[in-house]
Amino acid sequence: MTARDIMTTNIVTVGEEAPVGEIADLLVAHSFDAVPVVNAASQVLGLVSYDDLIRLVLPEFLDDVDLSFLPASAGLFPGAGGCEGLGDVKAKDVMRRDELQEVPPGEPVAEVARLMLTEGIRRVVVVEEGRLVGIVSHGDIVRAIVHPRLSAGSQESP
Amino acid sequence: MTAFQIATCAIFLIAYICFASERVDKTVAALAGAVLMLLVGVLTQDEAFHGTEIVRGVDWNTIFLLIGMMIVVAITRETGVFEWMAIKSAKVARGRPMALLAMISLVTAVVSALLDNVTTVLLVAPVVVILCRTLEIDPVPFLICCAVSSNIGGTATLIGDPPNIMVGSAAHLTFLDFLKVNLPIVAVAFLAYLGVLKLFLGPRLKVTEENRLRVMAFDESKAIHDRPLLRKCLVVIVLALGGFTIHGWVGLEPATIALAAAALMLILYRKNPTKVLETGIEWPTIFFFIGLFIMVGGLVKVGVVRMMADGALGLTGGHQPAMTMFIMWFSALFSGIVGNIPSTVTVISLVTDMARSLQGATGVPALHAANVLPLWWALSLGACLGGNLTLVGAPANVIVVAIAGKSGHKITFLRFLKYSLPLAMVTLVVSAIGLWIAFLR
Repeated sequence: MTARDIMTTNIVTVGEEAPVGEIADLLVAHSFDAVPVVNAASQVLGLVSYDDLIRLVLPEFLDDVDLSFLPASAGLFPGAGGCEGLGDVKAKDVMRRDELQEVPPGEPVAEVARLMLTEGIRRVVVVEEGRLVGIVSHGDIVRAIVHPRLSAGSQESP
Repeated sequence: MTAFQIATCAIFLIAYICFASERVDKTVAALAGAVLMLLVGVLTQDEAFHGTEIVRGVDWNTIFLLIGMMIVVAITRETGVFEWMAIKSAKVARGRPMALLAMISLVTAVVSALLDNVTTVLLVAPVVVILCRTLEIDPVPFLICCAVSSNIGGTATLIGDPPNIMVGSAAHLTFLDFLKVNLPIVAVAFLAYLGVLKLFLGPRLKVTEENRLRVMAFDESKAIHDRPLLRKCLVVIVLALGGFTIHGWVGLEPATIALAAAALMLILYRKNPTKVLETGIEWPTIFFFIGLFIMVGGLVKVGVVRMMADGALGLTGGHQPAMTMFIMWFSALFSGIVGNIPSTVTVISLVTDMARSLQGATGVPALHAANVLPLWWALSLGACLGGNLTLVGAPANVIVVAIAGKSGHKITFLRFLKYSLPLAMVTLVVSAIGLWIAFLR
């Protein structure tokens, strides 16, 4: 079995100038947790995931600090007035390339699964001749391979 | 100058220009320069790794003292005690901005005197941003003060700041020596620093009652989530400080004490030590030191440092106060330009060669001679406090500016200079007076 057999081909993409508000609408409305950013030639430039949207309101400089001391009334972004100007942020400002793992359609699913677990990523993009043709997520692998085996096993046992 | 000397100087200068420009990774520049000196044959590998009577080579005492303290700090930071201290200071100050600035400075200075400056500001500075945002005041002066007070505090002890670790090791000065000479000078310098802040910043800092109450709502006790580990850390740190205090009497090098503390900490830690050893030790910093030691070793070997030392002696006429002031201000200025770690490695070799010229001998008696000893303290004070002159002067400064940038408050070289220069000058003037009282009267 290869990436082509289990990938989702019905993909929603955004352009690099798309405002983050629009991306948040897309992610919340659909069941996926990341959206590829593509150019006019369908080349993948990066991914915008829930993590990147959360990053907008919990900036990187706080990564080293334990925030348990904040009172219940504090929001996600500690301190006042940190969220102004978010309306101007575009896909290209928040998308990350390092989260982007590309595989060819013929990649064995075992390698796709290994990549996800060892690289700590939740999805890979399937690229053929430079163009985005599909996405394989954690869920796709569980649905296509892991779940059928587990449920078959549970049916066999009394 | 011979062609060999010119080539060595060229390698050295290019690397140091890289440190000043911040364009090239420092570790890469230092390692490349060091390797080039070995390849060209300026130094043999044996001289670089083990040193000779003249060339010091890699100072393993400094390297292992740094590694030991990094391990201790890496485990201690997991307890949340740094966050606890920052929030506690804000609440003791009851959210009043000038009091907050003084408390944060005091805590940062004391912690930096005992532990690593970089880790201290790395954990205190983000909390300072949160506090300032909550109080609706500009965090930039507070952040710069974090770095400046960290460098002032670090000056007080042998283990407080990398320049002191290196000076202590090279000049065979003990932890207690630093407490006797540097601590009183630093205490006065810190008060002078607070005075300047109060005078220039105090009147401009205003916060509302409502925002002060929001800071008082922070719960510092929740920052500590591993109390048993915190108790172990405090025990190890106290034991280590005890060990440092008596290391001169019991004949143990400070690096031995630091490694013993690190080993004890790892035994008591009981979690997987791999992460601590991999990420807790700042390997790029360690390799930066190694590269610097080798490069400066090359400069010593070809006799360039000896020429500089004789030049400095000629310039000052061997006059004690002039030599001392020259070393202090030269170290300070040099630190402000290339950073206080590269400058200290260089000036240590300069002072060592000055001692050789003045005493006609090497070894501890020459290094501790009455006309040489003040030079070490001048170097220590000049390099540590000179680190506050500019943004590139000390590692803590670079960390604070990076945190400020990530939090949306860009600090340019000039904006940093506007605060740091007057503060550094005040502490350096206090040091000059302190040196005069201690040694030159």
